[in-house]
Amino acid sequence: MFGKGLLTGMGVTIKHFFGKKETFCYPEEKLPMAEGFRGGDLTMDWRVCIGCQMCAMACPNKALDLTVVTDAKKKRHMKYYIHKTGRCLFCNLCVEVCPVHTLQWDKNYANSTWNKEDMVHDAMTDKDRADLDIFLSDVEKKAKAEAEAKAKAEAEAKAKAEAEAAEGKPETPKAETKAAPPKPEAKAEAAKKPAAQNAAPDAEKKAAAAEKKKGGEA
Amino acid sequence: MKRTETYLLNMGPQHPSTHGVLQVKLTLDGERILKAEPVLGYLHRGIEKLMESRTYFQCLPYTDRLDYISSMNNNFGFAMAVEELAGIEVPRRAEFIRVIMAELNRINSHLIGIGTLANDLGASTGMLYCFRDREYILDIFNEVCGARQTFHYIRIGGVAGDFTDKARELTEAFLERVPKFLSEYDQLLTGNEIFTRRIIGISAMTAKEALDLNMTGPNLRATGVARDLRKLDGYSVYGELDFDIPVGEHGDNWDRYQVKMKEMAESAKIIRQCLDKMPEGLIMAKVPKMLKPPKGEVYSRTEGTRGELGFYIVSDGTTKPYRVHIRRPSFVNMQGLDLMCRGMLIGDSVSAYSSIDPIMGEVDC
Repeated sequence: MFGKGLLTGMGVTIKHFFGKKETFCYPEEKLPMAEGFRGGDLTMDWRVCIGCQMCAMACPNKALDLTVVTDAKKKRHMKYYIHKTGRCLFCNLCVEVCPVHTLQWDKNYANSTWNKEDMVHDAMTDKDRADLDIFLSDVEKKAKAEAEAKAKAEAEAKAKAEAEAAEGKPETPKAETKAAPPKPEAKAEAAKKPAAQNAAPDAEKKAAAAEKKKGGEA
Repeated sequence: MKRTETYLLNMGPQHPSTHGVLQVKLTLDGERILKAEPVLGYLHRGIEKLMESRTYFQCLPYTDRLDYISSMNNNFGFAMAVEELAGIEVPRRAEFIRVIMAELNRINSHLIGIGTLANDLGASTGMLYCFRDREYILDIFNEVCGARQTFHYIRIGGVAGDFTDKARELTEAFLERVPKFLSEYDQLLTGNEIFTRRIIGISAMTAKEALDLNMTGPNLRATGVARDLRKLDGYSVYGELDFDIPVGEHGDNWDRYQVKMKEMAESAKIIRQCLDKMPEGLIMAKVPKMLKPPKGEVYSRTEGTRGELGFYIVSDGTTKPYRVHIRRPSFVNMQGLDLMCRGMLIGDSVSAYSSIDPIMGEVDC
C-alpha cells in the first residue's frame, strides 16, 4: 500500500513527540565540559612560568606572540602573552609541551567576537604586569644588595686571608639569610645555576615560592 | 519547427545542497542534465604546501582539517605514514584504541552522509535524527581528547590520551544504541515512499565505470566490488578482526545509501571486538622529540570513511617533510558526478552529490 512507509515514519516521530526530550535550553543550561576540553583562551601564571617559550615554538601556526623580560638575576619572565585565537588550531601542542604545566585552557567555549581585532587575548592582565614590575624592581634591589654584600664579604675574606696568610682557609660561600622573603631567596639560589640545565627543579622551587607567596598574601 | 537550445545553470558555490562550497556548471536541455562540471577550489587552503614548512608533529592538526567530518581517520592515515617512514612500532593497546576511534568516526561520518542525503531530499526529520545519534559519538571523542571536531587525537607513535573507563562506558552505551537507531532509520527513511522514489534507480553506475574513474569507498562498493583496504591490507589490527564488507548491486543512490547503513552495523561489530580484545599497556611508543625520518619516500594508504586515503611523504632527512601529497577520496570520487548526473533531472543532481558524500575540505585540500 502506498503511504504505509510514510505512516510508519510518522509513528516514529509521534513516539518521540511524547517521549523523552533530547534537547535542552542552551544559554540557560550548559553541558559540562570534559576534563581535557580544549577551547577558549589560554591562561598562565607568570609566577610559575619560566619563560622558556617552548609553547610558541611548538605552535604550528604562530598563534602565540610572547614578550619576555629578563630580570637582574638573568631569569626570564613573561610580560605579554598574546594568544591570537583567530590563528589558533586548538591542537593542544603548546599545553602539552609546557615543562611547568602552567599553561591551561580556560574552557570558555563561547568566545566568538564581533570583529577581528578582538580575536587576540592576553593571558597577562595589567595587574599581573604591575606585580611583575614590582617584582622586577625588588629583584634588582636584592641583586644590588647581594652584590654589595658579596663584595664586602669577599673584601673581608681577603683581609682575613691576608691576615692569616699562613693557614690559607678556603673562601666561604655567601651566608644563608633565612629572614629574607622566600621567593627572592629561591631565585637567588637558582640564579647561580645555568638556567637551561636546571629548568625543572628551578621551576619547582619557583612554584613552591609562588605558593608560599600567595599564602602569605592571603 | 520547434527548436530547443541547451543552457548553462550554475549551482553553487553557495547552494545549500552542495555540502560546502562547490560550484557545479550544469548544461541543461530542458529539465535534463547533459553535463555536470564541478568547479573546485573555493576551499583551497594549500595544506600540502603548509605541511612542508612544519615539523611532522605540527602537520597532524592540519590533517584534521582535510575531511573535517572524519578527522580521526585522517590522523590515523598520516600517523601511519610517518611511522612507516621513521620505523616506529606502535603499542598494541594504542592500535586497538585507534581502530575504535576510526570506526566510531566512520559511523559518525556515515550518519552525516545519510542525514544530509535525507535533508537534501526534503526529509529534514531524518537529518535531525542522525545528528541526535552523532552527539553520542562526539561525547566519546570529547571525553578522550577534549574536542568535538578536529580531534588531533591519534598521534605519531600512538594516541594522545588513554581510553578511560568513562570512555568505555560511553562507547558501550553507544553500541547498545546502534541497532536501535538503525531500525529507527529503517522505519523513518528506508520505508518512506517519497524517499525511496527519489533514490532507487537514480544515478546508477556500473562497476567498470566506477573503477575507470578510480572511485573507492562506499561509492565503489555500491557497484558490487568488494574492495576494502581494511580487509585487503589488514593494516593495524584489522587483520585480526572479523567483519564483512557490505556491497551493493546496481550502484545507484539506493545502493550507496544501503552500503552506508550496513557499514555502520559492521563498524559497531568491529568496535565491540576491539573493546573485548583491547589489552592493557602503553598508549604511546618512544618517539624522539626531534623526529628525523631517514631519507626516502613512503605511500601509506588506509580506508578512510570515503575511500582510499593515501599519504605520500618524501623525507629529506630533516624534521620537516620535503613533500606531502594526499590522495583524497572525496576529490577522486567527485569525478563520478558528471557520469551520475547525465540524463537525470535537475533535482536528481542534488541526490547525486549527497550520495557521493564529498566533503569540500578534502576535495580542495
